[in-house]
Amino acid sequence: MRFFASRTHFHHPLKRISRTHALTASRLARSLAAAACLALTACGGGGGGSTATTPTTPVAVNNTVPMMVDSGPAAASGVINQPYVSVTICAPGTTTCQTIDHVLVDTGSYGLRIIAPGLLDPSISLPAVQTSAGAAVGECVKFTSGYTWGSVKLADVKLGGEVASRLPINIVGDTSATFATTPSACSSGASNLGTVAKLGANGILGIGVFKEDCGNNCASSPASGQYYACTGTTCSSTSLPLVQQVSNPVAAFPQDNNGVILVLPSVPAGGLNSVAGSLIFGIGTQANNAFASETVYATNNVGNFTTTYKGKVLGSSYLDSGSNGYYFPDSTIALCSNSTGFYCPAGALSLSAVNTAADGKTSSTVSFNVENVDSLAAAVSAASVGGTASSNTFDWGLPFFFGRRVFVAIENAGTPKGTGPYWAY
Amino acid sequence: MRIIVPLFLLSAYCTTACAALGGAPTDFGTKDSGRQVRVLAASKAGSNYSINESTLSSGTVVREYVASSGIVFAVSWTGPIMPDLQAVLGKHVDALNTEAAKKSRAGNSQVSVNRPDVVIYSGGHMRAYEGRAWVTSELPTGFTADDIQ
Repeated sequence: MRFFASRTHFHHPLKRISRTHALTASRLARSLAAAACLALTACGGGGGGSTATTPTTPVAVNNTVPMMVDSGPAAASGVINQPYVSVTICAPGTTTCQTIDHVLVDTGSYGLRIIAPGLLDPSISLPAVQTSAGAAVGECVKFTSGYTWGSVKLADVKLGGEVASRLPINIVGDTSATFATTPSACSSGASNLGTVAKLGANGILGIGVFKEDCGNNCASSPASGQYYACTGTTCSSTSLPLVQQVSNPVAAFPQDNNGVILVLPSVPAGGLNSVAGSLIFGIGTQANNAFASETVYATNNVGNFTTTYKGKVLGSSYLDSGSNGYYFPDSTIALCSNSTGFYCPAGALSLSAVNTAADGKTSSTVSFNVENVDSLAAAVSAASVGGTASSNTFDWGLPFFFGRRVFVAIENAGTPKGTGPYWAY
Repeated sequence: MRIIVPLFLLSAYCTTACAALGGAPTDFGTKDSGRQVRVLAASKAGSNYSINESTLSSGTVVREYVASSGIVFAVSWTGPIMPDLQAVLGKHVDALNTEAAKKSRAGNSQVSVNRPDVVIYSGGHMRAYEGRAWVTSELPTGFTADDIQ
């Protein structure tokens, strides 16, 4: 019954937007650019700054893009609780663009990553980010269970009416010869996650609380297993200045750049086949991104706060839209026989935990449900499910975002409720 | 020729330390020239062991719990960049990759192995990864998984 009531309402707009091959003469790209120019009072980046003679009311940029939770790109299977948006990337300063659907919205990472093989249009020539010595920059990203390897290139990144110009992005699985061999320090002991099937997405849009993916840790000296200087077919570990690192596009927007709000409807017991919400840019910058009754929870310097669950203080806890469940340690809940790492209680569990800001100023109880993953209908792509985590972590994955507006404020960015990094909900 | 080089490097690495969890402590120095190491003595419920704490060039800290027999019975890591899991987990890394590959639902934020012989948790997010693993049969008397920091 719950399924029927909800199914009838959902459309799949993202599914219809397959890759747009907006090549050199694409009308679509031109119209997009034209729309952006109309909206941006300073379009052109300094070309005609002296033309404004009388003050005019700034036209608000479209700061919202649709965000969907659905079954993912065609090459993926078994996807659950993954929120997606479409992202347009363009060769800098041109209308040669490509719109890529099903890019994972991830508050647990920073920067845009696109899977290249079979997806990225090679006719969109993106300039390489280079070291001071002229070597092409490569990047390894080691996730908890695997790695991605690719290049770093510059692109204009467009989300709704917002544009991040000449932003360093990560081209995962770059097919050029320079990046053909993955450095051993990157791949050692890990499997390659840099495919659409493994990620369940065509890319990752990292819009968490930080600007750069690595930050100062990679700027001062080479950090093993992150940035590489590549010449010919040889890559060696290198440091990289902050401005050249793969970075959160939101922080690079001319406006609405202090954070984001993720908005998703609630999901009933049994789950839903798809969910439609929105990703809003900016906090307190437009009518649609003002605070209502949300409370601010500051994070520490690595993006964590504290969750207390069943009397245990879990000091490395966080909100992560890129995690597909509530992940927390509880040895009393039965594990699934099919879905490795997930909990499969006999009946849905009603649980609670207390979140406390890293600065200790705010604290509140969160109630949540954990359903049996293996009992869900196969078509369900959004549900309140959970799984195991290390003894110091509560990973509040996507189910936490259902039925909420979750604010993500970027480090050092000013907002009506203080300076980031923080979450508010 | 491309194949020979990595194999040679791997064999050279193994002659010094090809063990990690379940074997001798890892010498990260062969792979990470920037690492710093300190050894701490510890005991729990009458069992003596030591902790080899390596701070890698990435800033990530790896702690290896070494029994008096010289065997690493537990390991943890915490920091901005994931460590080389082959170096940290040794032969048990295969269990982690097998479990990760078995996932019927896409999702890579948390990976765990819960087998009678070995338990592994790997989690966290960009700039803040952490994990821990232990060999159940090698835990000293009185030492529990909660003692891994």
